[in-house]
Amino acid sequence: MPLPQALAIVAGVIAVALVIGALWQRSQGSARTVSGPVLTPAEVGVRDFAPGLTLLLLTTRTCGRCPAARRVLDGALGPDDRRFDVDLEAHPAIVERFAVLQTPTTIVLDRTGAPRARIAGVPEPAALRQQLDRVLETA
Amino acid sequence: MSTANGIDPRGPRFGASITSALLIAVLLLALTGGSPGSASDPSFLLLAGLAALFWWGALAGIRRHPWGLLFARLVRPRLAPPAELEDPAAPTFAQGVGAVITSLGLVLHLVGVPGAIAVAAGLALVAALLNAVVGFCLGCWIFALLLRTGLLGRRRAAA
Repeated sequence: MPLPQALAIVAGVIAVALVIGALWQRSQGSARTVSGPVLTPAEVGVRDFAPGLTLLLLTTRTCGRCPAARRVLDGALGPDDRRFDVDLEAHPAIVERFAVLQTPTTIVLDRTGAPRARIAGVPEPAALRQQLDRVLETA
Repeated sequence: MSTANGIDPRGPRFGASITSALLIAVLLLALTGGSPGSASDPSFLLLAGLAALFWWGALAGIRRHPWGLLFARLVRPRLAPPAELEDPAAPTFAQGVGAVITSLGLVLHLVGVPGAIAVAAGLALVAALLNAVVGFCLGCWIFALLLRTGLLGRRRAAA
């Protein structure tokens, strides 16, 4: 293959990577509303859900950005909220239940254990508390 | 998952940009020359070197990878401390994915499959660029997918 054509293909591969990257970045960090059957604390290995909101940080041992997600979640907790880590290897049913494609993924439960919101990736620190308050208003 | 012995998340991204540049070279060499089955093609030899580096990172851990050492010695001292540390398991896992993709390309090339080097280098390049440019974490996706398909799981993560 002549060099100009080869260069065009290389440029094409780089462009594909950048488009995927831009789309991926847009999907990350903000809460979207979800609904579904109520979870029991035992299903995710905790004693009780919080009286406010319960934030389940779904994690695995290869989750590089979970420490960052944990820091952002903990920074946005209200006095009645709690954050729990859920190791997906120990709770494979949760992977199925929420069709988890990536970690970190955060599931926001209300006090009854009903899933109300879901955040893919590391949450956006500036917007998180406001998004949690919106969940509480409708809870 | 302790962050006490975590790594600077910029380290793997620094390494991924060096790897991206080398994969671009492999792709160019593979597209402009070489013949299937030949073990002396420049593209084959360069990709074999990269595959060896991927295996090194996957087996010895990302911190002992040459790019990781380069980052720790030359780049990190010139930067402000990171906002948070990252678990080294994720980039180490991603190195394993790179090792498998590039090794498959090398083997298919040796048995005479045309385009094997270019396709393997192209796939690895997309993943490495995503890692370098937007900090995309391949291990965070593939690991969750493996859990869903049942290839992994049903045991506690070994700390």
